[in-house]
Amino acid sequence: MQMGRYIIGRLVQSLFLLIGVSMLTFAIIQMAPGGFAQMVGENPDATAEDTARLTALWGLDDHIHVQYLRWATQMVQGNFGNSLAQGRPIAQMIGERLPATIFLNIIGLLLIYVIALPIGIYSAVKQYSKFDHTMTFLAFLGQAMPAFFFAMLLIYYVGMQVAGIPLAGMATIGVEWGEVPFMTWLADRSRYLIMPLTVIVFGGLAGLVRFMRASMLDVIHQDYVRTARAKGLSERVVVFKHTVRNALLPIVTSLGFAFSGLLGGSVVIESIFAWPGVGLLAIQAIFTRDYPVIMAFNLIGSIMLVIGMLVADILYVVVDPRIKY
Amino acid sequence: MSKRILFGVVAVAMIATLFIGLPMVQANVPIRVLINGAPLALAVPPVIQNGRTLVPMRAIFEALGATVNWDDATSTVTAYRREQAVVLTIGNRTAWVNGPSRQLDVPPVIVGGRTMVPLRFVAEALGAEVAWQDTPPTVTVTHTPYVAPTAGGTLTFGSTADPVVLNSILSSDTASGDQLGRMNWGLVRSHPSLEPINAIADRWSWDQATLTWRFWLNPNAKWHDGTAVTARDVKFTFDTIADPGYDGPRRPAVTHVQEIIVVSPQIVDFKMRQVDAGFLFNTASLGLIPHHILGNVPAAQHRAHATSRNPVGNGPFMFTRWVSGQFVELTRNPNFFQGGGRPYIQSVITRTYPDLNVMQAAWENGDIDWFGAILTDHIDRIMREHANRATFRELANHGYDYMSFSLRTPAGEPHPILSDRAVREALVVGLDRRAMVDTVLDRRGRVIHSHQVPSSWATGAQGLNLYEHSAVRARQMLDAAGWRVPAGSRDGVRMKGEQRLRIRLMTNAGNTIRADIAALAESYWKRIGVELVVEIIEWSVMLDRFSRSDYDLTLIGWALGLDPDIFSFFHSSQAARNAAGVIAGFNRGQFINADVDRLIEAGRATMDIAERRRIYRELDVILNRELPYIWIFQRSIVTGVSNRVQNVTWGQIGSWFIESWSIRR
Repeated sequence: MQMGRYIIGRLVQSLFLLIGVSMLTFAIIQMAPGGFAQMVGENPDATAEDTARLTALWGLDDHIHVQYLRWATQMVQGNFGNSLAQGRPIAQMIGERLPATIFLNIIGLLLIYVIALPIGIYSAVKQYSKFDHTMTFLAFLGQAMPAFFFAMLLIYYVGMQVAGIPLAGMATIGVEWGEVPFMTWLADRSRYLIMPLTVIVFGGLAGLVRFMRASMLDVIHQDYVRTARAKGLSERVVVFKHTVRNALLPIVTSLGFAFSGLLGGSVVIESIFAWPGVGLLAIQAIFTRDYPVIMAFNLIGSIMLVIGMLVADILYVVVDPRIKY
Repeated sequence: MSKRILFGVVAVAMIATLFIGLPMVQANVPIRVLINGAPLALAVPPVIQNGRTLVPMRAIFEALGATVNWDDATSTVTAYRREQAVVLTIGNRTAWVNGPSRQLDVPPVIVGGRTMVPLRFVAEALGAEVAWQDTPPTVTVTHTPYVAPTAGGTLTFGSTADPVVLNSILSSDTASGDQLGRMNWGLVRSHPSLEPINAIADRWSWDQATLTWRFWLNPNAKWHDGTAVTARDVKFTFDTIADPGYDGPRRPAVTHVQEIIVVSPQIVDFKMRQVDAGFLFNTASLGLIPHHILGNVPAAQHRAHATSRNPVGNGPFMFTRWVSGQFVELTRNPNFFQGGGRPYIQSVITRTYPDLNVMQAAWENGDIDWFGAILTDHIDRIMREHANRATFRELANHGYDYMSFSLRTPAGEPHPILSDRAVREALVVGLDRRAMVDTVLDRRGRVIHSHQVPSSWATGAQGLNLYEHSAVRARQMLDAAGWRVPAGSRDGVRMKGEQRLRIRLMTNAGNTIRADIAALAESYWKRIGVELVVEIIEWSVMLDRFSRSDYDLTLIGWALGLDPDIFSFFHSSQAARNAAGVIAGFNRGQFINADVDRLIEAGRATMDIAERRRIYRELDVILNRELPYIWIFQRSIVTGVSNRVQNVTWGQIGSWFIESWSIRR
C-alpha cells in the first residue's frame, strides 16, 4: 500500500519533470544558431526570400511558445510529429532504427554484467593479488581509452586482418531474417556483432568491475562478515551468501541507470561500425536542425532516464527489505 | 563564238539553279567514302554542295554505329549513338548536336528520295575524324567503334550518410543527390566539360525575341514503370516548384520562369520573364518528377509521399531498395531510353559508413569499389600499397577556400582597417599561399587568384595579379598606407594613430585544413606587423556573425555550381541588410562596385557562351584587383577506384556517364 502510493507519487513527479525537461530542451534547441531552413538553404543559389518563405511554411517563424504548444499538443496525443527533412512520421523513423540499437545494447549490457560481476567479486576477495592488479589495470585502460580509438584499433588490427570479421555494418546484403536458414542468419549477425560488442563490453566493463569490487570490499570489512567467518562458515558461504548478496545492492541500482543508456549510449560505436541504430538518426537530425526529431529523442531519453531511476528505486526496495517508503 | 556558247551554258546553268534552288554538283568521278578503311556502300552517290559532301543519312549513321529516328511530320532525323544525339531537319541550316543548336553550311536535302546529310558535320558530331583527298576524290572517316563490355556485376559505393529524401526537387543533401543522379534525369545534364548536354531532352533552342526556351524530349524516354516521360511531366515538375505548398529548396530555379507550355507530348516551352543565362544549369538540369504518380498529391505532401523513399525515376538505374542506415540498392534499367545495351552494370549498391576512416578502411579491404576522397595523410601510403589493384585520379574540388574581408561595419561605415585596398593587398602579399598548398594540402591543390577556378569553363582571365609572397613588399605597402611600427614597440604590431593593426579572423570548428590556414596566416602576418586573433567557432554561429558583419576576416569556402554566374557573391544587391541588420545575401563582405554590378548583369543577360566567358574573365580581373576576398586555394582530392570498375569517363572534377561503366568479371 505504502509502496503503491510512493510509486504514484513518483510518477506524478516524473510527469512534471518531463514537462520541465521538454520545455527546457525546446528552448535550448531554439537558441542554437541556424535553423532548418538555413541549413537547407546554405548554398549560393538560395535567396533570402526563399529561406524566409520556407521558415514560414514550416511554422518555424512563430513565437516559441506557439511552437512549443503545437508540439506539446501533438505529444499529448501520442504523436511525435513528422520529420522536417523526410516528412515521415518520426515514430516510424525511430521504429525502424530502434531494434538495431536495442539488440546491440541489450546483448552488450548482459555481457557486461555477466563478465564484470565475477571479476569484481574475485578481485575483492583476492585483493592486491596479481589477478586484482591486472584487472585494475585493464579497468583503467578500458575507462581511459576513448571508444572510437579502441574501435579504430580493432578495425585496423582485427577487421582488416582476420577474414570473416566484417569491418562495419550489421548484416551481409541478402542475408535476411526468414530468407535464409536460421543458423546462417545467426552466424552472419554474430560476425558483425563481434567488434562493436567488444568495444561496448570493454568500455562498460571497466566501471562496473571497479564498482563491484569497491562494493564487495565495503561489505567484506563489515562486522557481520567477520562474524560469519568467526562462526566457522565456509569461505564459499561467507562470500556468496553474506558478502555478494549485500554488495549487489548498489549494483542493482546501477541497472536502472544502465537502462536509460540503452537508447543513446552507443552513438559513437554506432557511427564507427556503421550500426544502423537510432544514434545516427539523432546526430543527423542535430546537424540538419530537424527540430521535431531532436525533440523526440530528448523526450524518449528523458522518459527512459526517469523510468530507469524509478526502477532503480523500486529494485532497491525489492532487494533490501529494510528500506521502506 | 565559243565564248558565247560558254556564256549561254553558264546562263542556263544559273537559271536552272534558280529553279532548283540549290546549287548542286554531281561529281564526274564518284566520291568514295572510306569508314575506317572500308568503302561505304551507298545506294545514291555522294553529292557536293558548296564544297560540302552529302551522303545518304541511313548509310553513314549506321556505319558510325548510330540508330536513326525519322519523323515524317517535321522531316526531322535524329541519330542516337550512346549518349549522343544529332538532330537534322531537311532544308534547315539549324542542326542540334548533343543538345544545343549549331549552324550548318549546307542543309540536308532529299535527292532521289533519299535524305542526304553533310558528311563531315555528322561524322564529327559523332566523334569521328574526317579527312579529304582530292585524287581520287575520297573522304576518309576514322572512328573508334565502340565495343560493348560484358554486362553484369555489382558496383559498390560508400556514403557517409543515408539519403534524406529521394525526390529530385526536394533533396538538398549529397547522399540523395548521388542516388538521384543515377536513376532520375532532367531535361539536360552536364558534360565532363561542365557544359550542358542532352538528357531527357534531345535538343533545345532559345528564342531571344519571345524569351522562350523550347525543349524537344526524347520520344523513347520512359519512367521506370513504363509510362512515357512527356512534356506534361516537365510542366508538372516546375509548376510544383512554384506551388505555394512546395517546401523544397529549389524555388530560386523558377524565379524567372513565367509559364510552361506543353506544345505537344514531346515539346515543351518555357516562357521566361527575363533572360537567365544560368537556366540550363540551374533549372533545366533538375531531375523530373512523375506526373502520373504525384499529379494528384498536393505539393506540400510530396516529401512524405512513399516515392520519396521508393522513387520511380527515368534514368539508367532503377531503385530497388533502401535499408535504413545500411545500404541503397539500384538495379540496371533494361529499358533505358538511350539504349545501346547500356547500362552495363547489373547492380549499384551504396553502403553507409558514417565515419570516413572506416569507409577508407572498407575500401582498402575491398568491401567497396570506390572511395571519393582519400584522407590527405594516407594518400601516399594508399597509392603505394594499392597500386596493383586500383586506379587513382586527382580531381579538382569545384570550389575554393578564401578569406572574406569585412569592408563595412554594421553601421554601414567603411571598415577602419580593411576598407583600404592597400592594406588588403599587403595582407595577400604577406601570405605565402604556395607554401599553404604545399604544407596544409600536402601539394594536393593549387593557388588561385580570383573567382573562376581552373575547373570552371569561364576560367582563363589574362593579366591577373599573382600577389607573389614577399614579406618585404608587404611591409613597404603597410608603411606606405600609414601603418607603422611605433618606436619602442614591444610586440612590433603596427599602429596608425591610436589604432592597432589588429584583425580578427573567424573560421568554423572541426575543419583542420582551415585551422591550419589560420595558424599559418597568424604567423605570416606577425612577420609584417599585423596582429591576427583567430577565433574558431561552430559553423552556424560563424554564419550568424558573418551575416551581421561581426568579424574582420572570415575564412570559409565555396562549393561552386556549374554556371559561372557570380551574382549572389558579388552583386551589390546581395549586400543589403534587412530590418534585423542581417545581410541575407552572400555578399557578406559588402563589396560594392558599379563595374562589377554592370558586368554581372550583362553576364546574366546573354546566352552566348563565348560572350559570357569574356565577361566573367573581365570580372575576374576586377575582382583580382579589388580584392574583396583573399583567394587561397582550390583543393584537389584523390579518388581511388578498384580496377574492377572499367570504362569510367573522367572530367576535371569527377566521373561521368555511369551508364557506360562496366565491371570486369
